[in-house]
Amino acid sequence: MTQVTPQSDLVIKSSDWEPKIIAFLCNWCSYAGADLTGVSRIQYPPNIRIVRVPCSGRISPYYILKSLQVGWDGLLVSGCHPGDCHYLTGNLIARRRFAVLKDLLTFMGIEPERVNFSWVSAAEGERFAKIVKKVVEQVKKVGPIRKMVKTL
Amino acid sequence: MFQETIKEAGLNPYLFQMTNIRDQNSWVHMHEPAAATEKAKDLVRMAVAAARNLDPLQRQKIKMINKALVIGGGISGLNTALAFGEQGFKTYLVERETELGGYARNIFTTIEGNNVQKYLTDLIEKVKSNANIHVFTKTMIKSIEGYVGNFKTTVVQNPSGKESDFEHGIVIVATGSKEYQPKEYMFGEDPRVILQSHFEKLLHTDIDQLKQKKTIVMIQCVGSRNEEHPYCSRVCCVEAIKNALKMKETNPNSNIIILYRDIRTYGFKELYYRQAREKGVLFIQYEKEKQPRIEKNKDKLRVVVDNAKLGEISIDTDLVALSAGIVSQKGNEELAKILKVPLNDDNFYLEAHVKLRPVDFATEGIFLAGLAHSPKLIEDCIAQSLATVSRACTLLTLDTIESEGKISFVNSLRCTGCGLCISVCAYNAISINEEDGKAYINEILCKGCGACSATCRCSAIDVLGFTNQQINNMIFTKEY
Ligand SMILES: Cc1cc2nc3c(=O)[nH]c(=O)nc-3n(C[C@H](O)[C@H](O)[C@H](O)COP(=O)(O)OP(=O)(O)OC[C@H]3O[C@@H](n4cnc5c(N)ncnc54)[C@H](O)[C@@H]3O)c2cc1C
Ligand code: SF4
Ligand code: SF4
Ligand code: SF4
Repeated sequence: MTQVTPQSDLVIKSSDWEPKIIAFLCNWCSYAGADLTGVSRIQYPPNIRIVRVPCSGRISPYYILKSLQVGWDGLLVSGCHPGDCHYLTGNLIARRRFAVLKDLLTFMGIEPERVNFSWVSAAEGERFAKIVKKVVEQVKKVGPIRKMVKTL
Repeated sequence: MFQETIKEAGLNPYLFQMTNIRDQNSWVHMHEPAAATEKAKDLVRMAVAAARNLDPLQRQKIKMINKALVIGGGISGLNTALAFGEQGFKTYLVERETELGGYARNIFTTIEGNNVQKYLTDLIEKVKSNANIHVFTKTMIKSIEGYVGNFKTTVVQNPSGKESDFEHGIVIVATGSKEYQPKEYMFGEDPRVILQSHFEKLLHTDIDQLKQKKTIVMIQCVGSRNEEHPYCSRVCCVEAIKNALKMKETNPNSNIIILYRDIRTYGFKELYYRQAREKGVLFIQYEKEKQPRIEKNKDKLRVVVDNAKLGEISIDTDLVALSAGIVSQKGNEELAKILKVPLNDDNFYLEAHVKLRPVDFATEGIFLAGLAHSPKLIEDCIAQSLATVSRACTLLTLDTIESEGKISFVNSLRCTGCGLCISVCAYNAISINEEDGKAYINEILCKGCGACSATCRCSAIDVLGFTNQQINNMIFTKEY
């Protein structure tokens, strides 16, 4: 577990700290890809919690900020590959939106390692597992979120 | 499957929230039972959080008008209209010229030797005599209102200015394209420089004149694959080789020299390219940067071409045939605006998806066929037209169409009418209501992707089935 001392925001990490990562997966590609990872029995770290959304274009910056604020240590938004969006251009709109948002987050001091975007198709079970592994490792490196979390 | 069961039990099928503990948990963390159990608890907690705000949703039903509008009376439009008519669907075919037939009226044979004029005359006859097809000629589209299933169109007849209205459920865009009119190679300045299509006409109507021509030079890629028109026109290599073979057949002693950049006789048409070489047609390659020049040399024309291997070659010739490419149709911008469908960089109509929806527009109920979409040969236009008819019939055969249950809606109290949502909606489902200046989402056109909702700065749009409240609930489980 993580403890934050009130005086400073010094973090004491015990060795068994595990990050919790929220993953927004689009219904048509990435969510189906994550299912395929299961069907193929490919193993990945148990740190992610999946939220199914119709399209990566559904994700407003608000959800990302809110997630970081309520204490998710990292997040992953994954949609269809460019050109394969079930809704034609939703993923491209998402890409543009997130490019701007990521700059803002970096400016606010949020480590870029926490905020991840990727494309995973319904056929890429292996790729989904790889991405989760990478994201979990990255977030582990930067430690628990504290920048935006309200503490008493 | 689960939703079907819920429905059979007499409940609203949308009162359902799923969490995937098997595929997305137990199967992927087989060796970490403790951590997997923790994850399962979180996932269930999140699903319950979302389920708290589930709403029963209804699908909207609207009637489908089982009639078609086909715009453009070329080979593609004629084939689509005929296929609809033969299946019993009332069809309005709108052509702006006096005659039906489109560009194919300039083509005499295909490279395989099929008689295009005979085919075209038969096709037009069949269309005109089909009781289900109403043909308008010299007619322009004035407006198209409505959406899939319920379009209302007004057309104007020239020159009388007479207007007619009709209703229909789907639209086919088959407005074709046109031949490039060269600015290069002294075209229009010297009568011995003609278009490939003109050469074809002479071959079939005035062969005696051609018999006196000893040397004929053809220049490929005229007005194609350059800065202005970066694409390949696809038909001109086939056309040139077709005409070269025909010329060799009539006068085996004629010299035919084809100046090309690449030969694109795709598929089995490659065999005709080989045949042309065997018959003695000469092929000389030039590079894009080194275009051939034409000069006057006494009573002859002299073509100078620079070949990478052979150097500069001068050819004295009696006739130059320019293989002019295909350029987009005049009036595409206006029609695209009326239909609210996109054009690509070269002003051809753009399909919804190259692989997944190749003959559909993104907007439901509007389809495309033929040269309006991209350069292609007659056979490809026919195949594409029939594909378009099949797609359109999946709608035309219905009595009613249903909306998706999970669609977006606008809270007009919050909407400022800024229009940002309109620009991200790929389905043209949103419009600003003229009366109150607020955004309005068409329930039939909306697919529920949520792009508009994430874009709206006023948080005025929500997506049924994936509401802001539900997603928030899931995010906030972290605090528990
Ligand atoms: C230069 C050239 C050479 C070609 N050579 C060959 C060849 O050798 N072999 C071969 O197989 N194919 C060839 N083709 C292709 C062939 O012509 C087409 O595949 C075929 O004619 C199908 O055309 P279409 O019906 O899609 O379009 P078109 O024939 O262009 O017909 C479109 C019709 O729509 C009408 N229209 C346009 N806009 C509107 C509007 N807003 N409202 C109402 N009506 C409208 C036009 O007047 C026209 O009648 C060639 C094409 C060109 C341009
Ligand atoms: S078909 Fe041949 S002549 Fe026509 S643009 Fe393509 S390469 Fe050039
Ligand atoms: S983006 Fe929001 S505020 Fe702007 S028009 Fe659309 S719904 Fe209204
Ligand atoms: S949810 Fe998608 S399809 Fe529906 S109105 Fe919004 S952007 Fe258009």
